[in-house]
Amino acid sequence: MKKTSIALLAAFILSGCGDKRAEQKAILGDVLKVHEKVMSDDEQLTKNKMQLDTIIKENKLPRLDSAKLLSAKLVAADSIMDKWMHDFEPDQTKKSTGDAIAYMSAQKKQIMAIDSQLSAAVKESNQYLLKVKSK
Amino acid sequence: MRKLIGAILIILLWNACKFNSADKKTLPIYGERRPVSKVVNGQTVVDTLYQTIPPFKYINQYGDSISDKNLAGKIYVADFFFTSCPSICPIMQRNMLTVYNTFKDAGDVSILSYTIDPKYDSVKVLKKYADKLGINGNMWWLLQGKKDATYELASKSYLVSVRADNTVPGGYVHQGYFVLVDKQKRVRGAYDGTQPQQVAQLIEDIKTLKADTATNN
Repeated sequence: MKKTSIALLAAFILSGCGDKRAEQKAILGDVLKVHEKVMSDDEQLTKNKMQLDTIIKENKLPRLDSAKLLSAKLVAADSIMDKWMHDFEPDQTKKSTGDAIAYMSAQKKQIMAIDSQLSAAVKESNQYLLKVKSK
Repeated sequence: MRKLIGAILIILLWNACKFNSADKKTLPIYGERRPVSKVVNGQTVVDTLYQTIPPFKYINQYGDSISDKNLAGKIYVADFFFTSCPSICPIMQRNMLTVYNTFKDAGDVSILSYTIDPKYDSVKVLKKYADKLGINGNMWWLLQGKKDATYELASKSYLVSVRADNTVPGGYVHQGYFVLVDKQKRVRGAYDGTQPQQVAQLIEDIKTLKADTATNN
């Protein structure tokens, strides 16, 4: 009976570990998915920044405040994304499962916030560029 | 009997040649094209001018300046990556190693991996990355240059076939494409670098291009 209880306990603990590992893997998957989306938006960001920089350089518009502000917003979003990328550590095998889950969950929050900031900056610059081109 | 064997042999040889000529594969040429008229031996003939990869200048993992001139007479594969990429780049570069190992002694095949994170991917970082991958010599260059210029080169030149495909969603540069460029700097194919089957196809197409170039030049 004692042996059966120990075996059951071990099986219970192991299945728990398995669940935790799966949870960690799932969060990592979510993080990478958002990261891929941000990278895709980053291409549009770079294009928009190039167009804004050309507008600023050409200096043909009566006011360049908006172009300068939007360009700065794009640079800020790009920098924060770069920093996250360089700091992010996908390999969490040296940590306990609990710590690894906590790390991945925090990273997920961070990358989602970066996604929002970057998307907003791209959207705002898209609207501005459309307006300028239609004039 | 002798004559009969001779006749059978001739028929077999003819059929074999016919089979080979019909089976000879030619890769498509992507990008814009326009007809140009030129005078050859006093007669006006119409030729086709194909889109080519424009001139570029970058720094490689050894700190050497690399331009399009260094690729003269080479077939090459280009891709876009960055060293701190946690998702698709490690898979891509692992697959690119197969291309590297297949053609590293060929002499007329090169690989160019352009970083899209030049702020972080310095020459030192690129060299460390190359060492980790186990690549040496001058067949595979990891290139660093201006981010804007790389995106421009990627979207307007290298990824022409991908952009033309309406089924592919936007954000083309970071989708793991391997682009095949011929000795005349024309784009001849784009392959998903994360898929081993597509990379195997790329290797076959490089062989086709090599054979094609050997016949035509």
